[in-house]
Amino acid sequence: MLDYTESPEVLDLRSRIRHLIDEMIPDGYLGAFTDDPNDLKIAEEFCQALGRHRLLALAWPVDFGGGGASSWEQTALREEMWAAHEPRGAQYMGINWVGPVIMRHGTKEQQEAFLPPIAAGEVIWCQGFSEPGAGSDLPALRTSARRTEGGWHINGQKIWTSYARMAQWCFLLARTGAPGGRKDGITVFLLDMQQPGVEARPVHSMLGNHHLNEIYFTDAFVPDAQVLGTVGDGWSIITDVLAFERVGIARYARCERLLSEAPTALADRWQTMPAGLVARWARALVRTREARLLAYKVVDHQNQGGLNPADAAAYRMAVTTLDQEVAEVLMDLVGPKALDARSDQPEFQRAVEDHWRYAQASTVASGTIEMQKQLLGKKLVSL
Amino acid sequence: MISRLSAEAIDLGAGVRSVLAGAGGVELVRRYLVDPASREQEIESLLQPLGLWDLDVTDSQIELEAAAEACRVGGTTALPYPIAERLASGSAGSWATLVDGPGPALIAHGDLEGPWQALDLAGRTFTVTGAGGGVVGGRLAPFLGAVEVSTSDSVDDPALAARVGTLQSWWLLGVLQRAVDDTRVYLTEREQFGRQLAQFQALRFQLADMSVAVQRSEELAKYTAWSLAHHDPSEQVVDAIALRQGLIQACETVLRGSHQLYGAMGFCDETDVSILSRLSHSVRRLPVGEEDLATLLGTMILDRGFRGPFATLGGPIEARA
Ligand SMILES: Cc1cc2nc3c(=O)[nH]c(=O)nc-3n(C[C@H](O)[C@H](O)[C@H](O)COP(=O)(O)OP(=O)(O)OC[C@H]3O[C@@H](n4cnc5c(N)ncnc54)[C@H](O)[C@@H]3O)c2cc1C
Repeated sequence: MLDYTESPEVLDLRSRIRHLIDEMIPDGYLGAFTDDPNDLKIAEEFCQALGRHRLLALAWPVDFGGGGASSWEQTALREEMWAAHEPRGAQYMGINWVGPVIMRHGTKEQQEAFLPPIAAGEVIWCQGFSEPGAGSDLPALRTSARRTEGGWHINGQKIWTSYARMAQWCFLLARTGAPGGRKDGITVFLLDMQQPGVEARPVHSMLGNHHLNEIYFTDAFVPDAQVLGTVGDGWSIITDVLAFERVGIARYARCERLLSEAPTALADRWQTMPAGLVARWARALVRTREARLLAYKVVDHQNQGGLNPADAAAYRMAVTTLDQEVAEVLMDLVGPKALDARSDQPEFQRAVEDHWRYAQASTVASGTIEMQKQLLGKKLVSL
Repeated sequence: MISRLSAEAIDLGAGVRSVLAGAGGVELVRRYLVDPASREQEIESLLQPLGLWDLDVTDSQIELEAAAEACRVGGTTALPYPIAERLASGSAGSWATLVDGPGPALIAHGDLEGPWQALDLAGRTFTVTGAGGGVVGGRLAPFLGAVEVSTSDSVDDPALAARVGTLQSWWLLGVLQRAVDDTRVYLTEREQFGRQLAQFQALRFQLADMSVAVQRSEELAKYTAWSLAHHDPSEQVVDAIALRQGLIQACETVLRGSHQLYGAMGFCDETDVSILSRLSHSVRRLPVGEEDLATLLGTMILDRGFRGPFATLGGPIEARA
């Protein structure tokens, strides 16, 4: 029987998180990656506070320093964080998939070394997958790893790597097999970013600071103990990473929050808002509810042990296009003033400008929408 | 949180599916296009043994879910019968339909005598006269009747308006699901340039978009059915209008897509998709079109709110923080 009631645990978690946000995150905060370096510091302190309250690694098993939360609590956490402009900054990646993948594929030593700092909010990881010649076609990657005394030498280039300049560690894919080997001969390395053979450079973009970078590797060293899983068999780990990323960011949560706030935040302008624009706003709220319910369906099926990649792809298609559709509606609601991004401008207006920019990447980042359509479309015609 | 229907609903749906398939499925519609008057008795007795007409949707969530699922399955064959309108009123026994206020009105199945009762989208009640005068619709609404709607002394019944709207949307959901399914199969059957249409990525992408549109609507339909069993009538009305808006928007993606991917075949009476597309209009366009519906929805949400984890608007729905 259908049931959309949130459990008391979930409601309690929401209120604990909101309380902490009220306490620690200043009004007008738009996430860690603005032009104001102080925003980054706020995110760091917030993560450590989450860590102290065992809210950071909420989803992890208790054995690994986590909170052992249910998948509905994890869902609520994702929503609360994204609705508040992700005050965890870069650390959500370590929590969402780096940690869980190390739990599944790492040695005991790797788990002991890498998991506690992630759970405590003390470390930032980046994802070294994409390369200039390997985007959607990830198996085309060419960064190479050559055997050397006690470990491996990495040479090559990664690109689009979010947070690379602030990260201490990189979850890196490199080719240990023959060049051109596609999915065979790829190995996962846990690479220390603070060494001479690693150079991370910013890629300046409309998205804001830290979202895009490139990394050059020149004989960067990784000891044998920091190879994750079996040499040459990294692709099976990548499949896991993608599975953990599948539900991904709860983009619908920020959409709902901004849409709900619009009539109050724009009170003066709203008096004369054209009826057609109010109708678009109402439609956007309906689309937002649909995307949220699709996310819940994926979680519900996952709980039943039946995660279907095609369902996850359908959800991703819905939520990424939602982000862009809502961005357009919000920009029109705010009007021309949305382009004025001075820090003394009203919070809502700046949030809308920020949202529009980041939403443009929603159908590209973490696998393009075309790849989702490819997966779902193939599944449909093969039924 | 559970996004799966009760076993009872699924069983009833399976029963309806098998009875309708046994009677010819969409072929039934083709028969009634020739002789619309014969459908009332025939469909009523076809579904009678399943206990459909004994469901009381006002009684429990289980019965509401069962009624919704029955309407959806009816939609998969474009069942030309006021199944939603009849199930919505529960034990009251009337056929409840939606109108845009007093005056002359077009209503789906208004060619049948009823006992009709009308409500507007907000739940104001009206009296219906003049039903049973035959079909007035053309190819897009072959089971449409013209009636006269007048004000009534009865009290408002927003919960009933929400139920009719929701059950009609479930019927339309069935129409759309069937359209996607048929299109999917057609792409694997039809060959051009020496290969299946399904081999063309552009067509698979369009099919994927259609599938997502339907999946969105399905989840919204389930939530709204649940909402009807749990929230105040004033909120139910908003949710039912939101659902209707969602379904109508999905119609554009899905039925337009089906017509395109079928090529000329999709316009033919012998193709089920053509029938599904034609019969969708009596829900899509009535009692008001999408733009009016979205405008009304905007006004209502400003006034009453729209439930969600980050809702901050309106009267009854408080933000949970
Ligand atoms: C904000 C942001 C953050 C990112 N962070 C990281 C990160 O931290 N680490 C990392 O490794 N990567 C990161 N990426 C990179 C991201 O994973 C890639 O951008 C993505 O996989 C697409 O690759 P590409 O940009 O090379 O596009 P391409 O693969 O070149 O695609 C260009 C266009 O062609 C389409 N296309 C490609 N192949 C096909 C096909 N077979 N059929 C149909 N259409 C096709 C694509 O869908 C796209 O529309 C990030 C990207 C963004 C935008």
